[in-house]
This record gives sequence, C-alpha cells and structure tokens, in this order.
Amino acid sequence: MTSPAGLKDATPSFKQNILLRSAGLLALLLVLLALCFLSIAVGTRDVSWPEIMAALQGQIDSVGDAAVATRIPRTLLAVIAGSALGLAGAIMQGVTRNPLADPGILGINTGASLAVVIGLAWFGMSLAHTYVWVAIFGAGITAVFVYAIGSLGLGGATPLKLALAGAATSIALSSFTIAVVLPRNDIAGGVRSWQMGGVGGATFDTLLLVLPFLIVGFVISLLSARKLNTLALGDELAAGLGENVMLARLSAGLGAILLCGATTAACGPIGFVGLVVPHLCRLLVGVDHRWLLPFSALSGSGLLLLADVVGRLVARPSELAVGIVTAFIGAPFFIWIVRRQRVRDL
Amino acid sequence: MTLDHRLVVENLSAGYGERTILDGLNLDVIPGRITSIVGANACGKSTLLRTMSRLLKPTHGQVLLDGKSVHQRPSRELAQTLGLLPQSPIAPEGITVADLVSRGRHPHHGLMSRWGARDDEAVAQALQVTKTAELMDRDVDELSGGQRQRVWIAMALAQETALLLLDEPTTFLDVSHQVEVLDLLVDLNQSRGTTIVMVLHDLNLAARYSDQLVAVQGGQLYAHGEPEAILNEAMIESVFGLRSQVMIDPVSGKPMVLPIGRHRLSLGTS
Repeated sequence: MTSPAGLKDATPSFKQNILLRSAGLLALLLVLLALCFLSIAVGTRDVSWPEIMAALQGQIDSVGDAAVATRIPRTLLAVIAGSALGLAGAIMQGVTRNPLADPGILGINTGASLAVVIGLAWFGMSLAHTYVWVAIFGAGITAVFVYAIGSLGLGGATPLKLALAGAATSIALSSFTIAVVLPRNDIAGGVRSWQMGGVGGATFDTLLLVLPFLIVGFVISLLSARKLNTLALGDELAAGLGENVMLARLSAGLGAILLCGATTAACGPIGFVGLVVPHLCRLLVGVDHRWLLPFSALSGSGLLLLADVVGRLVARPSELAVGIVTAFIGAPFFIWIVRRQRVRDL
Repeated sequence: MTLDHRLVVENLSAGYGERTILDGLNLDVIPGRITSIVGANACGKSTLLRTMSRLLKPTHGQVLLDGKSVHQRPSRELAQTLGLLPQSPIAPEGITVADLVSRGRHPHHGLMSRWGARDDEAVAQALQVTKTAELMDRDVDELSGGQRQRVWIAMALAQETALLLLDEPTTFLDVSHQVEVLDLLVDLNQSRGTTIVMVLHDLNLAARYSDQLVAVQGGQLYAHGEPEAILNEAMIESVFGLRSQVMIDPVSGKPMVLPIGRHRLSLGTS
C-alpha cells in the first residue's frame, strides 16, 4: 500500500461516502414530506381528499376543511420543534461527549418550563413574546447549573455524573413547578396541558413567535459541526488542533439552549427526541458532526411528526399529547443505551 | 516546513492550583532534531510538555515559538506550526481511520473553507507514511494498540506541523510496537525535518532514538545535551535516585543504562 496506487484509493472512498450520505439526506427529506402529508390528512376526524386539497388552498367551507386547516400549523410546528430537539440533542451529546445527554434528561426542558410557569404565576406574564425569552433564560441557567454540578469531583463530567445531576435537577425543578402551580387554580389547567408537551394548540402566531429564535439557534448549531468534531477527540487534542475549547463549548451550547428554550416555550417540555434521534443517526451516518447534525435535525422532525400522528390515532376520539408518545418510545431506548456493553465517552 | 522554527522555554514556572511543579526552567529546543524529556515520576516532565503545548498556562516565564509567546498567539494559527499528541486522546465510538486522520486538517480551515485537494493529499500522505492506508475504512475501535497509535500519529502528520510534541507516545505498547512507533518518528524527522519533542519513560529507548536528551529534576532542568554527553551514572543517581551502570549499547552504539537494585546482582557491579 506504499505505492502511489494506495494514495489514489483514498479519494474515491471519501467521495463515495459523500454521495451515499447526500442520497440518504434526500431520502430522509422525502420521508419527511410524506409524514407531513400524513399529519395533515390523518387525525381524530376523518377527512376526504377534496377537503384536504381545499384547506391546503386556504378555502374553509366545511368542518373537514377547518380540521385540516388547524393541522397545517400543527404539522409545521412538529417539523421545526422536532428538528430543533433532534439537533439540540446531537449538540449536547457532542459538547459533553456524553451519550446520555438530552435536553430532557439534563433537565434543561424542565428548567425552561419552570421559568415559564414562574413567569405566569408570579409576574402575571401573558404576552407570548416574553414567554420565549423566559424559557430560553430558564434553559440556559439550568444547563450551566447541571453541567457545573456534573463536573464536580474527579474525572469531570462523566456520562453517569451528568445524567444523575440532570435527573436530580429535573426532579427538583418539577416538584418546584408543581408547588408554584398548585395554589393557582386560574393557571393550573393551561399549565397542565402545556406541560404534557404537545403541538396540538399550534397556530401560525405561535410559529412566528419562536421562529426567529429557532433560526438563530439552527445557524449557530450547524456552524459548530467542525468544533464538535475536534472536541470529540478530547479537550487536549482539540486544543492542540487549534480549537478554543471553552469558547467552542459555549457557542455550541448557546445554539442548543436557544433551540430547547424556544421549543419548550412553544410545545412544552418534550423529552427523548433529543436522545433517540442522534443515536439512530450515528448508526446511519457515523460520527462526523457535519453529517450528524443535519441528519439529526431531519430525523427529529420525522420522529416528532410520527409521534404526533400516532398520538392522534391511538386515543380516538380524544388524542394523546406528543410528549407522552415520545416518552413511550424514548424510555425503552434510554434503557437500551445504558445497558449497552460500554457506556463510554463519545 | 523546511523553515526552522525555534521553540524556547524561558524561566518557566507552572503547576496545578497552589502546587508548583515547574520552577524556573529554561530550555532551547534544537530545530530539526528529536528531543526526549526524561526524569523520575512527578518531576515535571509532562507538565513541561503540557505547558509548551499551551495546554497549561505558566505562572511565571514564557514559552516562545519564533519569538512569540505560544500562550498569546491565536490558537488556530499556532496549530499550523505546533502539533500535539496527548497521552490519551479519545477516539469517538465508531469513527473510521480516514475520518480520524482527516480531522488533523482542522487548523488549516476557517469557518467556511471547504475540504480541498491539498487536504486530500496531506491525509493520503499521512496514511501512507504511517502504513495505515489499508486500515482507512476500519473502525478505530477494532484496531490493535500499535495500529491505533500509528493512526493517531497519522492524524498529527495530517496537521503538517513543523514541530510535533508527543506525551509518552509508547505507553501501553509492547516492545515491538514501541520500537515501531519510535522508528516512525525518526522516519518523519528525517523525511520532513519535523522537530520532535516527546516525553519518554524508557531511558534506553530515549537514549537510542533521541538526538537530544532533556533531564528534568525537581521542576528544573538538570541536563540537556546529546545522550552520549549527559547520560552517565552520576546523572542517573541524581535524577532517578538509582544506582546504575552505563554501557554502550552494542546494537545502537548509544549509551544504555543498567539499573542496580538490591537483588539479582552478579559479580563486578558492587
């Protein structure tokens, strides 16, 4: 293999990989489109083909048309929330080099939701605009807190310590949230349904509200791909490769926090998407974050859409909040990851 | 690459928290040569390498590369000249050899620049020099210890730096792989003129494979020079607290240290 022929071999293999992965990305996009259609066509109420077409063109003449029309923003919210959660999970796993990192497990979604609940209960917050800021603030504080607690002691933020710190924080914050809501009958109902994690109440207004935050979050996150690739080799080597390790962690983390905070503001805390999706994508495309991040974003959309459609179908004539469905999928998956032979640093 | 870059350590003190480990150390690394840092455990040799590679900030003094402090230069720019292979880098689960080696190109890319022919060439060459080209599509997890270390060195080579610092590159390897890795470093030094500075545990291998030895004792420079010039019984006694006999290694013609313990001694040694 020391001949020049050996040198030449290197190039096609790289290119084949790129072609294959691009094809995969395209296929994923097609699946996503199909799921979007499914999400618009299928629901608690059966609708006919002409009703779907009419509603998609903006005509609302029948109850069926109206049902479809409400499914459109709901579908769009599921698409962006799912991709935000999938992407945020991949970023968090990369930043912490921890296979168990997930906005839900690390307590970040809970932190965001506690901040929102406190705002609602104590500060009479109602403007949906401040909502998003408050959620992002809560997510940020919680992320820093959990990471600091998990890094205490020898060995830094090991997977186990970080997951434990996240779980403990999450439980504490949940109890606190309940304590805040309990004496407040006026807001209890709204908070409860929001906290189950759902996309059902989505309107175009909700979408427009969170979209700017998510766009900034998406851009920052996707630009961190190469930084995460060096962090994956260990802090020392990352520094040796010219990366400012602290700054890389902070900027990528900021992207993930924007994504989680804004998503939680819009849909409530939805767990496990951020855990499941990056793991599946890693099996598919490997550990290069330049591919892993876009794949995680698209697959996150797909998973959340699917979970939402399933939630509408299994409990007819009522429906199951999407957060409950993802928990049903995610909990066994969590156990699978923990039980794998090696839970080691990514 | 052929330009000589000078790495100079000036009156360097460094440590962890309150604990001072390096205490006013001076060192002038000779460009284009292989330098090994040796010394007893906890003498500060790893701390020295970590400070030289800007992983650790000095409390006093400075490390200069071409007259400019390595701790103040932009990290990415520095990484184009000064490479580092830490003692235990992490291979992400499921990463392929090709992917790992290509990450060595990181400092040559900005936020938006794309992978180019120059990068392909550097990676292919690194794979070829380290004889890891045939492992390209394998998972790093599946490799043996010796293969894995060659892959890490390939990654450092892809970085194409004029200087390469290595922290104990032969630990965890059996003797044949230790020799293989050190031979590889000599190849690299001879073919590219790369200046190599490494921490080595094995004194005899250090003496055989290095142009220069740096003996560190109590956080200070004890001796610096060619192995023939500085490796002797008195130096081993002061640096390692060990009685020994230094002979000429018949294989390499370099000095070789035979330790004298309390047991298993034959005539003519005491």
